[in-house]
Amino acid sequence: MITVSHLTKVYGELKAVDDFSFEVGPGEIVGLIGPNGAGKTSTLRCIVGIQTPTTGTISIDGHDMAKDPVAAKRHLAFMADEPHLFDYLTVAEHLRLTGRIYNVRDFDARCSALLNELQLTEKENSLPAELSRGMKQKVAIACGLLHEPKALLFDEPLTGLDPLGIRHMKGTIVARGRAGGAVIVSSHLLHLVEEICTRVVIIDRGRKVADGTIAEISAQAAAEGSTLEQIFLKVTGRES
Amino acid sequence: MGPLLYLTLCSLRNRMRVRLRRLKEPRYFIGLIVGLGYIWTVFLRPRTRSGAATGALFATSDARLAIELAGATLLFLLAASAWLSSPKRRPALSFTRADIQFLFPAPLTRTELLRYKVVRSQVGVLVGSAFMTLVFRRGSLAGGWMFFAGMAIALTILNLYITGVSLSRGSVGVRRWLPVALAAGATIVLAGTLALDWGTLASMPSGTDVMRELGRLATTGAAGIVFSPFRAVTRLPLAETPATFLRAFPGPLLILVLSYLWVIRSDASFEEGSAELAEKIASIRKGPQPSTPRVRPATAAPFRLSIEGRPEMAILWKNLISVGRYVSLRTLFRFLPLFFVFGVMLTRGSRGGVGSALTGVCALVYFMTIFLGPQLARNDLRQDLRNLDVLKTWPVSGATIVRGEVLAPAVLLTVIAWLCALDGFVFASSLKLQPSWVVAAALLAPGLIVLQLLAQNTIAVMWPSWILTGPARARGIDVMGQRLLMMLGLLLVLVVAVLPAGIAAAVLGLGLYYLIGGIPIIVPAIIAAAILLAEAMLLSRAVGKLLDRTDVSAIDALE
Repeated sequence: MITVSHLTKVYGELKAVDDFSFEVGPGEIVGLIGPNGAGKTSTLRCIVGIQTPTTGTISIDGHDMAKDPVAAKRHLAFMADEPHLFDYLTVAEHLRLTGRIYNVRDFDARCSALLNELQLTEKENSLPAELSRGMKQKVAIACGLLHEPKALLFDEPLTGLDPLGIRHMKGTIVARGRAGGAVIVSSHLLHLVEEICTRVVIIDRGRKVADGTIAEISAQAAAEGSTLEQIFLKVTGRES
Repeated sequence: MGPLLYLTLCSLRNRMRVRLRRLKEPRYFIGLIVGLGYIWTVFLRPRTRSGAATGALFATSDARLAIELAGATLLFLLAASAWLSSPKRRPALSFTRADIQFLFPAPLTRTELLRYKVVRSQVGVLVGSAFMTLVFRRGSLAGGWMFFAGMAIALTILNLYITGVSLSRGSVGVRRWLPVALAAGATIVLAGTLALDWGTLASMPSGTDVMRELGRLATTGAAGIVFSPFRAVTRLPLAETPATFLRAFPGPLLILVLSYLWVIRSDASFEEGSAELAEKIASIRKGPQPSTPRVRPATAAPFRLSIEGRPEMAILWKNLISVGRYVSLRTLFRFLPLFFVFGVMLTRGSRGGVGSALTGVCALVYFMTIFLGPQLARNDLRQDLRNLDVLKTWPVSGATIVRGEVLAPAVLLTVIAWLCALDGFVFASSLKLQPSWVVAAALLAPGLIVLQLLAQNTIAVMWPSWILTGPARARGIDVMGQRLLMMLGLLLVLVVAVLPAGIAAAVLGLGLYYLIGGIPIIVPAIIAAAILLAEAMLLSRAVGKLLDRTDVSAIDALE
């Protein structure tokens, strides 16, 4: 579903992502983890078309992001760590705009279902300035899920959420994976990755250093029985 | 060196380094050359006859008196209004968020923090004084230095005074009503003096006589006492010779020292108010936010957006909603009196009455809408640059986004231009105006507007830092040069874009003239309008391709 092949992203003299390749299949929830500045966000932003790869290819459901970006983006949803909403659009108007952009067929039914699921019904006429950070995050998620994307990318999805919000967010991510979506979760919260992800990709200094289930990467790192935190520290060379 | 002085000097040095380092980029270097050229041409070039006008500003004693009175009045109004406006406000000094995070919890006394604030604000005072010296440059070098020093002292006093007022509001054990009463009393004294002398002032035969009478009032009696400190401060930058400067120096110096001691000795608790102010400033720098969030029902949208159809209409819908939620009719009505005055001035002498005046207003608004409107109406990509990472994830082409984005300002400006043209059409007969010319003007409006909007949006895509606005934008002579270059570039684009349409219309017009002996202006206008719109369509595709290739990280780095 999501195929990243030999992705390299260079900023000036800094190589943020270096020949990075991985795949995410339907129903998989892949945790993308790495130290600060490892290249996680650059990778995600290249996958969703916000940034242009320096070299390498990305395809979503068989559509090349460089050659046919419109078709590729039709199957994508990206939930950024900081929800960006349009200042002067209400919650309902955000959903209507998204519905029109993605040509969502049964818009009314899906819209009200999402508003209910994310407990936004009472806020549908509110402007972003009137919403808490958690509420804004929910609006961004509702917009992302409206067109039932096949590929979902979450960048630090739990930032700024309260315990109830965290629980709902985890439930949302797992539900989309179970429904057959290809999901990438980028996070520093290793316990979250351990809890909800079916596979883990570790990136360090722009390069992939581990890829597999937790059991597989602990075997690769000769650290059987270790926690993800211990494995992470070992494969990124920060054990001491 | 104390830590706060170290912080001030390091910040200043690094800011200069950043400014110098960015000159490695050709656009900033070229901008610097253009900016310096502009400053030389306008302010520093050896004065010719026309350039002598600024020097003449200070030439006569009457002129100096007028400037001194105006300056003193301005200072008085600022000083009095500082006490009389919002007396319940909490003391708040403008610290940055970093200042608050690092310095407020640090083991520093309030006096040290206040001294730091005063020293840091001096940078702005010196830059402001240097700029004003440049603008109001006196004939000699000594005159320039005296003006600079005088301005720096006057601005420092003003800065200290405003800070002192803010702090006094939070002071304990001070009779807060006293300064408010003094400010109100001083205002009454000045207003009363003017009122009592109104008959004399009104009977004065010339402006010079009025000025001299005002000068007399400002130096005698109770008004003279109230005005004396303000005149003393204003007189310093206006000093003619070093001797007069030195004679005028002790008064402002005493006021400066007293103001400084007043501020430094304050016991006001300014931390909480300052923290709130820092957050406010930071949020403004982050970008425009709705100041008073209002909830409007979905019916407040300009039209109901159906779920199927072209994405451009969705973007138009979004941008029209945003206009309705931050521009009120009240904002537009504020400009109407201005337009009316200009319109009447334009048409004075003509005998068309109200119709003529109204048409004058409309003609003015029409041309402003066509040529200034595209720069002012920014509810397109220029406003949406902050949301580019959202727009880039949408499954639509760059050209679609560009077309959708320029639609909202294009529709709004075209409607305004057409309303103006309609007025011209209605009053055409009474003004001996050919209705066909008005129709031709209306036909050309959309193309001219869209092309300019596209040119502005091209700059937003290619050089976003040239478009970003607000307090966070870059500053400096190089940036000023960039802006000048941008204006010239836009003018050039407009000329180049209009040229093919103009040539085609002229050729057609001449052909018609030879065939039928006259030019029905609407026909060439239709051709010109069609060419302009075709050019706009081609340009939107080109800008769309640029947008597709735009890497958002470049914009993030600039922000």
